[in-house]
Amino acid sequence: MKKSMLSVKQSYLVCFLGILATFGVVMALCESGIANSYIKGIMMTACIAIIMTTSLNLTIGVLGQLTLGCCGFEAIGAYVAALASKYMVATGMLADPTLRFLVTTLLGGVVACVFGILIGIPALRLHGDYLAIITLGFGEIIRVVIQNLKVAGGMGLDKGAAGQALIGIERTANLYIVFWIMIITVVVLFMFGRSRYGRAVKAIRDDEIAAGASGLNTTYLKVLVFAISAFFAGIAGGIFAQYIGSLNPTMAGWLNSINYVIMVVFGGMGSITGSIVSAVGLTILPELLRAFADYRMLAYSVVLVLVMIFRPQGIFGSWEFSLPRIVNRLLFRNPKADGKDGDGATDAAEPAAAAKTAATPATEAKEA
Amino acid sequence: MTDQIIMFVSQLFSGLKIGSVYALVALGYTMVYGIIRLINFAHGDFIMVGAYVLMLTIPAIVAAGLPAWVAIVPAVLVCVAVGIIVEKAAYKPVREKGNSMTALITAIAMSLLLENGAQAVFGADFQTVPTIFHLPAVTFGKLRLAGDTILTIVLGLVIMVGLQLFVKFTKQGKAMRAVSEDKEAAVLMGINVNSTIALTFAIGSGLAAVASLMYCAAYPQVSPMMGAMLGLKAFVAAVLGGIGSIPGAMIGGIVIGLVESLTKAYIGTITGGVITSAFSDAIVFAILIVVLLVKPSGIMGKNEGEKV
Amino acid sequence: MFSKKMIAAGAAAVMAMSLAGCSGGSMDDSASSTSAASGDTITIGSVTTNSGTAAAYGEAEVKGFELAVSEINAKGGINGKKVKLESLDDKGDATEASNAYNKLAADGNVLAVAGPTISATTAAVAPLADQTKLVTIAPAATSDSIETGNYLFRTCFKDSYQGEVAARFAAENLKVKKVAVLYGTGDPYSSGVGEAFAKAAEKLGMEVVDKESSSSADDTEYSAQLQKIQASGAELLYAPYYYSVAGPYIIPQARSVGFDGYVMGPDGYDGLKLTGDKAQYDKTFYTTHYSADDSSNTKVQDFIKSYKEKNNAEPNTFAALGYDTIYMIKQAIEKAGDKATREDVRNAVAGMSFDGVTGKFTMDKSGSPTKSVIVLELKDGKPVYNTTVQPK
Repeated sequence: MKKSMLSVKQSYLVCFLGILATFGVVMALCESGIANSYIKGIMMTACIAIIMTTSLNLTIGVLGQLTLGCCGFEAIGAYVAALASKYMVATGMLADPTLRFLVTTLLGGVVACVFGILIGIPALRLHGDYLAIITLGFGEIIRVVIQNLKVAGGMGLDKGAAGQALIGIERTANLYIVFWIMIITVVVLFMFGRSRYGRAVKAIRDDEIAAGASGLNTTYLKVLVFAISAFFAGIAGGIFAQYIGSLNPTMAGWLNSINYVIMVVFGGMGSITGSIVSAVGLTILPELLRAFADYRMLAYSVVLVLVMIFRPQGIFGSWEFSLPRIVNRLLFRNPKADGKDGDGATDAAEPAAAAKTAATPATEAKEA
Repeated sequence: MTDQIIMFVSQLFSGLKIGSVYALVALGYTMVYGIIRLINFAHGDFIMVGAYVLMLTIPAIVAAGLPAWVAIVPAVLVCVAVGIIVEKAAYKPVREKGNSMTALITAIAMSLLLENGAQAVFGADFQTVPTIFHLPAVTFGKLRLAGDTILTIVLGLVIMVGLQLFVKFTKQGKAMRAVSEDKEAAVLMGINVNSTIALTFAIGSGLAAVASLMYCAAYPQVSPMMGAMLGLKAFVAAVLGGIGSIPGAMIGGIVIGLVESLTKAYIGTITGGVITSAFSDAIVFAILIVVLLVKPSGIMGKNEGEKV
Repeated sequence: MFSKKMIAAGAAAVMAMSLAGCSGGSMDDSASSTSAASGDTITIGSVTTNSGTAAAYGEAEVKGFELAVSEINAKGGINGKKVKLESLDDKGDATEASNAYNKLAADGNVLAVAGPTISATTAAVAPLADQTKLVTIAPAATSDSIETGNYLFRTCFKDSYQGEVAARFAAENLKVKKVAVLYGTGDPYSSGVGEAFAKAAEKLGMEVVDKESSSSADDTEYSAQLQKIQASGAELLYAPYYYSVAGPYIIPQARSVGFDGYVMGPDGYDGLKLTGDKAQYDKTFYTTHYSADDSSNTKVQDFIKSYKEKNNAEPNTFAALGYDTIYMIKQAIEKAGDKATREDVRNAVAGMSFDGVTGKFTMDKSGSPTKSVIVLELKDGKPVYNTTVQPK
């Protein structure tokens, strides 16, 4: 193995440089003015979609359970962040918009996570079809509750009106910050997938009874996955609220959740690369095909059925993109480094792959 | 006091009205789930297909001098065809290759396909369906129970008994039960699994057509998205009754209808206005959740241990 | 582990860098200032909901836009320049609406935007309009809460105004004392108008004997709520829902539980879907923007005639509002002059007086018109002009 491939540290470095390079491209586009508000808006939407799909991929791909309620958590995060931001503006707390954005978004994530645990503990006693339906039910309940809260409509807080869209949220989301939040999300999720916990979760996916029999605390692990997923969905919601500036309870509905499920399934259940590519692709594609907007959902559903028939594991399966692997291949022409795919990669390449996957979205984002 | 009792009973009647429709839809869900363990998400959309057929054929049928409900014949034919096509083109190949999650995703995709296909063909706008039945309402003093509702319940009961007898005593019915129990063993017994499943889908979709007739009699309007929420609530009903159980679907449907109606009427007073009738959808799902957690097999379902 | 820390530190450093001093990441950048009237065409953008559940409204609006644009071009355009309509679909989704709007805003040739269709997308677009200084006129977004008082205007009256007018009509013309309200909480329009009606009714001395709500504005079964309303002894039911729900569900169900009082609704009743016996729709009134029978307004007849010629169908309220929206933009651009910038057009719209198909009105400070309201009554299933309620 000596001298035949990058060391762990070198791999990290390669990945980090890759991320930096993509960020540099994004920054160059924005600073030079080539990316106008339209293109920046699409990049922002893509970042939010990436956070949603990669976190959902954890439940669908790694844990192997279909949930149809991810937008319920996104909505919780969004409303919490929006109302916290409104409260801070009203009381003059945290005058710095960037700091306020970070704090409120984090708060949104934490509250969504708490709900994820509360909902996960009972819900995860079920699996398969039942879990899908029960999460769908929770999403709908969240929607109905939000639309009946007086504080969560109109101008919000004490000036609120139930049933109205929540408006006038400070639009403090900054593309650069969101880009880094997205990178952190992807890195954390990737690391989790590769960690001891991640492998245990995969064991549950493959055979829950056997995993339990081997001494794994399956309930704890499942709730953990659910909570992490909900946390990042809440983060995505917090960003969304402070990017769009207005919120509607319908965002919690199951039709929205299905959109993200479609993204994850297209990309490949279990592949973060796949989630990222399809999140970015399915964000840009409708913009390019505006003229065919009427037939978009029709095309999605046909393609979805075809994917399920001919490639049930999704386009990328569980394959992960890895920059160090490419560097290895280019520099050392080492056949051993041509690991089959993410899961089969050698130990040294693993953490590197983690960081590098994180760079993928940026590569995609710049194409926007 | 008597006014309140009259009010309560009429609330029960309006619960029966929607509940009987849920029950009919739930029967279709339960048939399919009982055999292939698949939540047919597209079942609600089969009803939408049936409703569009009714809307298009009723004028011609009435013009030909026949009663409007004869439109059920083309509706059943189209729904059965759609059901079998969906099964053969999508569900069967996925069932052979994938797992239960891919099957469920396929069902969701078929639902989206039917909804958006209908929207592409008929447009997104709502269209009304001509009156189907001209049944007199039954009145008890101040109380009034619509004729359509009674017919829906009677039809539901007849179908329920018919299905039960079919599954218990006919050869095909026994084959269905065998397939549901153990597919491999069924093949060894000389049962044609594929044609049995196709038959199940045909029956399920035919039931969807019947449900669409009764739905359109009560709520005379069609739109591409009409099946989504209806299908979801009927599914809740099927789970509540014990999915896979034919009488369970009937009971579940009626219970959900009654619960919806009674919560709309009384929840505001009971909770002092904290929870209002606006929460009725949430309450239906809350019931589902409680049932799934307390007794996942539902009211009539049988408990099945997990096999290693 | 060392390298992990390194990365973390590096990432933190880069983040700090990216926050300091770089404005490019901000989503709140002012539009590239434009002297838009250059060239020999004027582009008017539109963002409407042409797919999804509200597609019917958006499509009607676009037909109204297109009719107005073709009329204007046939008569020589605006300030001698041809008008081009750049029409985008938002699918009824806030994110899509904001993407579509950003696309228009980034195009320096776009001088004004017509749309969006529904209140949810309008709420998302409102801050963008202020930020990009692009005047935006929503034809039919009635929600009170979308007002910014800056670059966002509307052609229709707002929910609270409509609720008040309906209450005045109920008190003064129908002379009822006891009213009941039924509305869908999931829908900003339904709950907005419903709440406004209830508030105004109490102010006018009527008694609100029952207030009921439904989970969403597209439920199918309302018998439970209607029975309570019937039992409450209300003489009038105010049910602000859309044509697709009020027509086939609410009114027949109200009649079948024995309610034979008045039913009133807002402009969502336009194009009411009727089912069964037409007599059950008697005693139904609704407030709206224009009436084909309104002989006091000659523009109405011209509009209906040319709409029929172009589209081979009867126009509805959304088409009429869309049609007026384009003419408002035309009037504003003409006033702003040949070298008009986006700011100039905005200033011309603010406070403008306009005379169109949907009435004569003046824009108030918050961007909503103060205009007369038409009340229609259903007779044998057909809407018939009843009266015009003038603004106070």
